[in-house]
Amino acid sequence: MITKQALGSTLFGMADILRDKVEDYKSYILSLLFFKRLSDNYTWEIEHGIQEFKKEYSVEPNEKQKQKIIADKHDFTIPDGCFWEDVRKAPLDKKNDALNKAVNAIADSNAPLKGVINTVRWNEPSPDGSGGKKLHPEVLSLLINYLDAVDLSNRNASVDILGDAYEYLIKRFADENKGGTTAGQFYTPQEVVDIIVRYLKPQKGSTLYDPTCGSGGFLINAAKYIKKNTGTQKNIRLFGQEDVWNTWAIANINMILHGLDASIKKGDTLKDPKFTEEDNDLTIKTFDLVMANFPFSQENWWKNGEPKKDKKGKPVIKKDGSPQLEYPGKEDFKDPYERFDYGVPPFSNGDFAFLQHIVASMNESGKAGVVCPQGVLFRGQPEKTEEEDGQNRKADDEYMIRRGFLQGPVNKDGKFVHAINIIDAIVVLPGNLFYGTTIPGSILLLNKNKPEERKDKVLMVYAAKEGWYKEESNMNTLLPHDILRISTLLESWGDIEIAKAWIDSQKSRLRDLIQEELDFKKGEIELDTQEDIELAKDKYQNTNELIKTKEAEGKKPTQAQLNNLQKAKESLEKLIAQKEQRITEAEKKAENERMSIDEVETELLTMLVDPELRKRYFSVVGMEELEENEFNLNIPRYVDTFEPEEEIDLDEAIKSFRASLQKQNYTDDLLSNLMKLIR
Amino acid sequence: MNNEWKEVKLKYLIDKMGDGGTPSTLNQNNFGGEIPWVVVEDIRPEIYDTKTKLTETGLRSCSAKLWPIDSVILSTGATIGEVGIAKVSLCTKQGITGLVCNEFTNNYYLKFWLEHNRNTLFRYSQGTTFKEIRTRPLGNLRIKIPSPFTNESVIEQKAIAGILSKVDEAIEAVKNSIKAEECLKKSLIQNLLTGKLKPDGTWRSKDEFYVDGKFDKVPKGWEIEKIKNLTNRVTDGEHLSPDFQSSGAYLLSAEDVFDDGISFEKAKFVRSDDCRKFRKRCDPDFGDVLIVSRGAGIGRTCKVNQNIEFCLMGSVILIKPKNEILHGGYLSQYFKSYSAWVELQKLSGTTAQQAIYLTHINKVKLMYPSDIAEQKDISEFLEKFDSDISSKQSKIQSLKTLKKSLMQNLLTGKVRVDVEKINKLLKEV
Repeated sequence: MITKQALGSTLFGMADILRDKVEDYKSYILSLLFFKRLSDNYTWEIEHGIQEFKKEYSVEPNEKQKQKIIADKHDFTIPDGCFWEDVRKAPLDKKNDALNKAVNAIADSNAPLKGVINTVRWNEPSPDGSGGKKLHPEVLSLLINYLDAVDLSNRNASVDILGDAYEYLIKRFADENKGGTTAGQFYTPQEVVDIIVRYLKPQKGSTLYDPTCGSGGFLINAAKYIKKNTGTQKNIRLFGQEDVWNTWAIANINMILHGLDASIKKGDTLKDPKFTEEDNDLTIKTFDLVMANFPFSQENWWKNGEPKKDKKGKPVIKKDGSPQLEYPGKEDFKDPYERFDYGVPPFSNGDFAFLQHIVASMNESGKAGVVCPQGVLFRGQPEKTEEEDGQNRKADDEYMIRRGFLQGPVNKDGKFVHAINIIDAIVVLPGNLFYGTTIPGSILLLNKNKPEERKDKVLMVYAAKEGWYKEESNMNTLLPHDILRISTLLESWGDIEIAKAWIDSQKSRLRDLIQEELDFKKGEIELDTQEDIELAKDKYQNTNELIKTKEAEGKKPTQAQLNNLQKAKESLEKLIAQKEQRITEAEKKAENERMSIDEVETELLTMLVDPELRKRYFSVVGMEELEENEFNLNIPRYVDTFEPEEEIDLDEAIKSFRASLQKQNYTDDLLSNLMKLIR
Repeated sequence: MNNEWKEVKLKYLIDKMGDGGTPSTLNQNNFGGEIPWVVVEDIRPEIYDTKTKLTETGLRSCSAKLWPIDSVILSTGATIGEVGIAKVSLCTKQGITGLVCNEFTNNYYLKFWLEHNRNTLFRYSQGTTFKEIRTRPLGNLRIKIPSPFTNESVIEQKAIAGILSKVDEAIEAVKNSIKAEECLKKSLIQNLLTGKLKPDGTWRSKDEFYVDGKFDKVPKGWEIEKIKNLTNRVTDGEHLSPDFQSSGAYLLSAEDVFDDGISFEKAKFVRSDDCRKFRKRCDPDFGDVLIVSRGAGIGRTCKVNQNIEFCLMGSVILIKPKNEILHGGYLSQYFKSYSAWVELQKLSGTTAQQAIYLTHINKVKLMYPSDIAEQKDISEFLEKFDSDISSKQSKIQSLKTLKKSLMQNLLTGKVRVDVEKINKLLKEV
């Protein structure tokens, strides 16, 4: 059995072969890997089935029984001639076609794999019409030979290991493409996912839904959580929708590799929601838990914007180079799915459209955890009268929607349809934490059936303070102890007893996370250094043997040869020392991280008993205070996010003031005397 | 005897001059040593220290040179004309030239001359976007000095530089005194507006406080109330661009609001009709509070301290306290405090505050003595500091004017000084 760390690093090695050779190379790697897995496991499934038969009945199965075993054992069928071996053996000039034929044939004979295993057109001709392939056969051949060495069957890589290695690959791809927009669309940092899943606490039998699921990270994490708590991943019901074909395929593969039963549909969640009731396809299906990281502030989400024209009929261009759009009025707009109970969001910003889709997808006691841009917390103004602000304006829609979340939807006459607060808690996160954007995000936790004592309250957690996250040049991250800080506040709502129990329950889990991270890091170092060290070793041995051969012949080695030997030895030692150094550093980092967990425990327990300090971490805000603040949820209004003013000692201040006056008088006198000498 | 003032090329007044350099930033061994390395922000009249320092290796690795104590340090690239005297041995970045005077030149005289003739330096510079003065043209810069190349020359230069240095010292002393006074005032605000210190100078004892959820300790007899409930009106001045006149009724804008009160010196005028119209919505009267709501002076605030009728521009917020419960001076002092700044920051939706909003002012909670006489005592106590600081600021202005005039006369020979007496007086101190 291979470890997931070793497998992950090995698989990521494929990126080195393909990087800069094709666009979106992650799709190539992930689908090739999937094909290899199916193929490898197919053979293993037969062997395994026969073994089990033998174990149970203590006899070899006969040919008929064997056929039955084979028929039952396979999750997917692979037609003859479509196995990995067939592609590997194909001659170089036929390789692309062989692979393409194989994956398409598999897709054809397995309905759930349609569009999943065959997203990449391996034999796509090169655009110049020369008859060559877009992906050069030699590159493909390199890729196949590299992967051929890794056994991806259950014998070597169990479902858990393979699934985790696959997720590791996805993260690495996201890291490589940090600033690009595509990374954000398929990946959400695990730390944030971890916090949300642990607050929502999915149960056995819960229905889980992610309307913008990307590669499926939320659903997988939730499924793992259930499996850990119940020991089984049966009866986990996962639903996801994703609009980008390649990402949709990645999500599907992700589910299959993790052995999860999930329904991942392709389509635009706002325009074309795929999960609707069976008896009425205009009624949104509801779920127990919804988790999402939707695209921040999506423009033109209803696709009804038209390029704005100036007086001369030329399109108006925005600063970023995209055309300025103009939207029709909202009077005639009607959502066929009737999701916008709280008000129609501006067509120029999809935040509250996604949020209301999510609210509509929650069942009566449903909960949700959503990553949002912080703008949703304060964008939009209430009605303003001339007298109040020198201006006369109606309330903004976004303000009305936010107020609705806190107090309940209103009808056309402004009367409450039913009064209910569905906002449970808010976490304000530091900036530059997510992929594809640097703007600061937040977590919005919703609950349609809040416990009685929290009904009219909202918990606000401030997690954006400097030092409460790790700052790196291109991206900030939450470390395990930062997760502990946030999750403890969320879980306890400031109750120290609950906090203590929670911290106890999380500490070992977070230590495991640190260990896992360290093991990945070590695997990476191993892979990084392996080749160079091997080369240096060979060189040293070759030089050494050369000298030995000479000595055996009774000749003295030349000075140059001795020098070479010395050099080879030194460079080998240097490489080994460098590797050791990197491992030591990684271990040291992990050790510090473990210590930080204990430090945060002390920090939190001290804070929770000090009213002054509590105000700087979180606040449980009542409806009255929210109303007073016009339902503006901007965190500084409720949590002390500013540094307290430095207190100046009055006696000291008086002393230095007097001294400064004296000095001033002295220079004044001197200057005045000098002037007398001039005039 | 050659007793005339003459223009002499700079190269004849110095022993050495040269541009600086920067070692490779990739090599960490170059930085963090003991040798001060001057960048333009480090240049003061007298340079004792720098933010970044080089190691010996760093200095040797680049074209930066080590300048001895007393060298003149002049910025000659990008920012041109910042000049100071090295008070320690130091090196410089490129674009900053070091000059070592010869026996006929007083370094402080040269420094003042360069400072005064900054415009001439610009004329010697080249380049369009990035201006710089090369060493050769700089050497040809003509410096005016008395009786060149004589001992008398150096003595006279020294006397002139000595006078100018003393003006600088006086300015520096006033600046420091302002700093100390501002610090003292901050401390007084911390103590007076929280009731810890009474305006008569005595301290409140612990049992004279009660505990409140938001404000922690509140002195007994003090109240906490939203500004909305303590005022008759919170509004701002005219938003539309008014029809300005050369005379008529006063129209004040943000620039006329000072820490210690309003000023009509640079006020604009509108027709009395317009003024009356504007005052219907926004009518500042004696004792009201003004706050600059946007722009460079955002947050600057004062009490209306003059009984002259005027109207306001939109960049100023007017708060009309209910005079029977809230003293305008007290409110104005509160808005000068750090806590008020934090309150307004909290209320503003975004992180970078660009404006103060009327609705936010209304929501700010104020802690105040219910005894209006105590409010008055506190504010009058603090206002003395505001007016004192303001008078010190005008003193700096007049010292600067004096210095300019002295430079115009002394660095050109228009006014000759009694060298002996002045050097004697300077020696005594």
